[in-house]
Amino acid sequence: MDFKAMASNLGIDEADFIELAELLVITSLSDLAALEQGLAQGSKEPIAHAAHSIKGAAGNLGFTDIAAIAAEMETLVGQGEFDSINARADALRQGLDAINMAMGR
Amino acid sequence: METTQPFTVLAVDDNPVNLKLMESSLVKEGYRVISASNGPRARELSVAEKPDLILLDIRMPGEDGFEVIRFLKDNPVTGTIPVIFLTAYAEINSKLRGFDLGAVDYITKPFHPLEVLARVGIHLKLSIATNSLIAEQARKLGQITEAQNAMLPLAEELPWARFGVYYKALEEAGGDFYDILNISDQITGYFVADFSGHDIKTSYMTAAIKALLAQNCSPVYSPLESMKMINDVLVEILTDGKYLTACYVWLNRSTGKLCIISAGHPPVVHIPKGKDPEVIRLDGDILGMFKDARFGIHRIPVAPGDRLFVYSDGLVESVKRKITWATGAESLVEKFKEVRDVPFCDAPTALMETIFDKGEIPEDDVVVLCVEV
Repeated sequence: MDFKAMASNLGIDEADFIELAELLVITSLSDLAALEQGLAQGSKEPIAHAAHSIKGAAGNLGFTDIAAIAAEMETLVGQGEFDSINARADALRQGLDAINMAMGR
Repeated sequence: METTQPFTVLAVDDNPVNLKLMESSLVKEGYRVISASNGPRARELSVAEKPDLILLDIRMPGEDGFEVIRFLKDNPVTGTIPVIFLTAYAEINSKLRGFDLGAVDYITKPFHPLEVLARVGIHLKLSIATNSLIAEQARKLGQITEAQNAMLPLAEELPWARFGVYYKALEEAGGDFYDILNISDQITGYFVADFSGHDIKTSYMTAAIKALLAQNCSPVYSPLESMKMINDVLVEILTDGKYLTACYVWLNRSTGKLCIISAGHPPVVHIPKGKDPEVIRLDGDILGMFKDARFGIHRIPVAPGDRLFVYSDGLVESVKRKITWATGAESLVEKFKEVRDVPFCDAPTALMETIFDKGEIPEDDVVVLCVEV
């Protein structure tokens, strides 16, 4: 994960980018918790909102893999494929962990 | 919009990452950024801070971006603030709905900070240009108001004319007009007119009427002759179905003779000293429409202390209450009685306060003239 290149791609400083990446991890973990709660309750709306939120934020910062997983989840909600969403939630969590690792945390 | 102050941008998004990204990019370019993470907070900040531009996410839990735009556009304080909304690439309906509600542009998500900067910059430029255009037009209209007011003589400048006046134009260029004419040492003319429409063209016409009055209201002409001559010129110069209703009161204080000429104007109210008001109804053609116009004419003897009220239809008419001046004047007789003891110079304002409740705004321009013999 080349934060310097990603920051430069957005036209911002690396320090600012790292701050944003950190915020992305915190926010997305919180979204993910809401998503999992939605899965447990079989409630579509919180899942759709959480997936949409992660997709947008990750996409904005250039974390395209995470954004892609979230986008798939958003599509799957409509189809009621809760099991597939569950599997992707794990992948998403791993993606967020990878960002944390890259930041040296 | 002060150019020395940094421009303030309100960023609205429920995701803190997006907010932070917009904020850091904009701050770096010298903008002041305030942010809101939900609709109600966005509305609150828009009103309190009046930002120069708003970046608004459409999809937010609870109150969404559409509801926020609708509020902003309905509120006079925030209605002109340019709103750029943020929406997902594929959501064509969101884009159309956003424009429909009054947004100036959209940015698709995921967004690039440089695109945000570029769009914010261009819409601020457009907004500045529009605002300065509006300011310039308002300044020009202000000049017309000044010029028009300068054409209306003040009661305190003409003490010999013994009149009081209330004048209120609803728009910058009013459609009502009055003038006082010093015909001779004994004779004074009082003229009140109401133009059809109250736009800029109308306000130029007031200058023409003032000049015509000065030329034609002289001791050698009878009041009727003066009005006929003015009418003939107006028929030539007024176009597009423009016309005016007018009332000309000719008063000779030394002989006690009064002559009223009415050109389709609401009736004059005559209050003989110590007696009840009389409504003087006269039929007459309007001014500026017909070459062979016939005007209403009424001659009465008057005595010192008698009063006359000459006014425009804005005083008595109400579209809302469906009152026309034909019936309105009668219902106002009692109101005229109420201001009988008020000094003539203050009587028009007192009359307005009697007729209109505090804070109630007349539906049309209003001029009220009170003349004391």
